[in-house]
Amino acid sequence: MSSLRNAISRRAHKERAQPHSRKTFGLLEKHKDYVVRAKAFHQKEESLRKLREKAAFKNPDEFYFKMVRTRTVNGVHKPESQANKYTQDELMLMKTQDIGYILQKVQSEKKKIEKLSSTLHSLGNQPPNKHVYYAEDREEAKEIRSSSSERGKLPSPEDVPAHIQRKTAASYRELEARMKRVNELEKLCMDMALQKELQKKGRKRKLRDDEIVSPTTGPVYKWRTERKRILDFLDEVKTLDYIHSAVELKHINTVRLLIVSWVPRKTIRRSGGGGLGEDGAARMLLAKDFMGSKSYHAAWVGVGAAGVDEELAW
Amino acid sequence: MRPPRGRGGGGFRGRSDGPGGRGRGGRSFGDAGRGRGRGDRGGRGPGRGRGVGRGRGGMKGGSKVMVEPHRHQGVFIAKGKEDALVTKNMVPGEAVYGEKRVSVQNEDGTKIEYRVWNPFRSKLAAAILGGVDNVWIVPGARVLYLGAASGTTVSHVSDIVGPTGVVYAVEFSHRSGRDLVNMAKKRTNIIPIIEDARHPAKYRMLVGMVDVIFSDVAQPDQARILALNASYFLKNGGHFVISIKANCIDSTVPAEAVFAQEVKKLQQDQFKPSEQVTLEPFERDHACVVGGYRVPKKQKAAA
Repeated sequence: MSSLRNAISRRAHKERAQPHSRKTFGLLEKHKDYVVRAKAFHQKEESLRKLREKAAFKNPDEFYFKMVRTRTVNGVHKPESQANKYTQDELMLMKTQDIGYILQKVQSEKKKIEKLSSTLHSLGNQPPNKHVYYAEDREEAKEIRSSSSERGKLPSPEDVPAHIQRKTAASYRELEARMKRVNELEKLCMDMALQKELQKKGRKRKLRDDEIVSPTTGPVYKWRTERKRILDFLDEVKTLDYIHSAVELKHINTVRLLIVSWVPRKTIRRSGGGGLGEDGAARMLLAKDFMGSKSYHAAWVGVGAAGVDEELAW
Repeated sequence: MRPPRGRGGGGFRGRSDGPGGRGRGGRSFGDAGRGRGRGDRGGRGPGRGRGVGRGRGGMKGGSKVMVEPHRHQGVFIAKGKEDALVTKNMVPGEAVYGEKRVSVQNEDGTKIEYRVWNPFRSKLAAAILGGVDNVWIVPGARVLYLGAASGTTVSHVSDIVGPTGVVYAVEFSHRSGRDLVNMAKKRTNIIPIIEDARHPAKYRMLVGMVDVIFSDVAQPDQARILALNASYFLKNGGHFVISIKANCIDSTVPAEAVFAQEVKKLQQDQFKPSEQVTLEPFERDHACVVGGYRVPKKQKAAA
């Protein structure tokens, strides 16, 4: 029965469209659209109501320890400042790690380039090298010249199928992209290293354009030269060994330098730095050895550090 | 109304650029391993090729690599994902220094394996790519190779000369000589000699007359070493190939001058250089000189 009914064509159902005059409001809203819209509206209404309720029941004496450091400004919570979250040293370490990561990527990229370029020899291109022929006389030279044009070329097969040509082209593209990437990464790495150096201690200034010897795109900095104390580089225990060996070699200036740099200036001024203990005695002995060179300063340093009476030392 | 649209948009955007970009990178790497694997399987390749009906001259429709002979005998060119100089592998299934291998199937179903020849590691390959006219190392040739090192180039030379030829590989260093000997165990046409090339008398009992001497010793007196060995082993009218590293001979003068000076030295020792190529994109300040030894003066008589 129903199939019979279906056989008779019915009038097509036409959905009502938005009237032309109300076209600015978009498509005509149907009941199911209204349901969605109403649900969303009521959800928002409900959440607003809940928030209002919470605000109304709020305890004016409410306290959390976070309130000591943070506050609300015009009802907006201002979180604690993150500016000094890491110390300078920590930041430095993080920067080093960042550079390390970039370097690692550069290395891996270089390895991939090496692998690719070992199988991509650009056979179609003319190599950029120099080819010299040796001839004994003019006739031979002429002969070579006439035949060199034809034999200089490598065979470049034109009948390579298209799908193979596409593959080759894709490999070359990959190689080129990787080379570009390495270039960029290296640039980035240098930039980061410069930023790191700039944050370290040391007086430096940016060079003006007319001061730069070889023109570059980036900024150029110059550091003030600075004398470093040897103590900064040498282990204290080792220093003693160095001094001994320098004395044996009669290298007076080295001894002087080592002793002077070894003993902290403050100790000298106080002239009785007992804290140096046995080392001080050793230094005194050295100073005695040193008397031959009449280096008063060194001797005095040694004595002073040992905290021994001057006469005793002499 | 709004929620579904928002989600749909986000999803679409994510699919279009996120995984797409990643996928491209991944695919290119994945192929490196997979390409060869499928080529090896091969059984599917020729069948499909015949079906397409493009199978003229051993080229299959489905093949991924095409290998065809180079101008020099025994050297081939592989086209595919690689665009490389290759030699026919004497010991199929084994790489000598981790180089890539390419295998190709013939019409009759036999497989031939080729090894990619890296010009960054081999000066001979660099010279061939540099367009040298003749390297004289051909199938069946007897070659004396001075300065064999670990045997990377030697392995390719042994591929070229094939089972009918012989390669005498001389290397002084024990450390790299060990690799050379290990390699020679599998390649029967290589005779490794761990001796100083300055004293050919020490290995004169091992080496017969040879057709070609290849010298890559990078010593200041390499011309003398070559001359000495040639006087012992190189046949009259034989050939030499010498690679010259300018820095090793004299780092104070420009490379061109060093090459000229070395060529002059060679000419004094009965060598007749015929051509010289620089190994430019692969090595800096290197040149390869090719020529003959005790060449009979035929041309003058003709003139």
